[in-house]
Amino acid sequence: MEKITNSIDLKEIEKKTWRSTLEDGLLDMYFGMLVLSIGLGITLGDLLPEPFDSLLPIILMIIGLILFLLGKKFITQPRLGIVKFGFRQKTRKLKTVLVLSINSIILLILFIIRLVNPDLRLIFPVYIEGLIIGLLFITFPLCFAAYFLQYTRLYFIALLVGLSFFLSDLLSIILPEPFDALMAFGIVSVIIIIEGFIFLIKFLRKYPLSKEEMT
Amino acid sequence: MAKKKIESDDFIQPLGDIDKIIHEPARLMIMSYLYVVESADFIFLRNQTGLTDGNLSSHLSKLESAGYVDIEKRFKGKKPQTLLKLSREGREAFELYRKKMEQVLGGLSQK
Repeated sequence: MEKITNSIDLKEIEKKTWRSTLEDGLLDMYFGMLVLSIGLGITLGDLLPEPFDSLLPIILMIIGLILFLLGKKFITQPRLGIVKFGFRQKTRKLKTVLVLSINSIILLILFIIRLVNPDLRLIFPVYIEGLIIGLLFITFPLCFAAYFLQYTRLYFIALLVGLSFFLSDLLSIILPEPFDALMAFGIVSVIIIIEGFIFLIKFLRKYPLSKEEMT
Repeated sequence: MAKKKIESDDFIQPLGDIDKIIHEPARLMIMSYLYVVESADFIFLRNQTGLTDGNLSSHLSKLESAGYVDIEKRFKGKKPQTLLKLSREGREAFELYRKKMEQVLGGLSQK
């Protein structure tokens, strides 16, 4: 009853309601899977014959998405319940999609430019290039997404993923290519997946499987 | 003296107009949660409010009788699912309640 006696702040209630849908850690684990598939994509690109080298990361991403959706359906919904958000949260999602779409378009343009001119390089040393690209095109857009979605853990994920390119460049000093990328993205993805898993366990404890409805 | 009494009653009068269905703490909480979302099911509302099944169920029945909450019962596979949303009247009543409470509580001071 303590909840009732506290003053009612609708914005706080909206935030709490929204954040409860992110408590399960499934989205974190999905991000971890994405990072892992990027790492495998870079690594296997040199090891596997075509077209498996480019297909495997896509398959991994799809598997990650399927696992995420199944988790939401069979783990989260029976425990947390179902909620549909109103206009304000939909606007937040729309803004996130917009920022990430613009970012993807910029990345695609840069990729095409690089494809047309393979010798084109930034004026920075190679390892700084990875750091700048990671922070500029991964960390910042994901931070915007974290802000719009009020998803605090995404700031941490954004930083880790952004730094993974730099980490890969650093590891290339001691590891042969392409294992440096696999190691860097592997470490980052394992950290994110473990973090998500811890949140999932907390979620399962907080929301035990619900009894039948009594209405 | 009589004039003073009338003035005092005028000040207190808005309290009498407060919607008593919404004013009950548990129902106020239910209305607040349903106000910030488009719709939610029984389980979600129970988790958020911390109310027991029976308690939530009885308050929802009262809110439904008042026309403030729309309750849609359906089956998802073999499991029953109860979807809840504020009706237009419920939303308007909640907004009016907020305004009145602000009006009443805004006038209260410790001086």
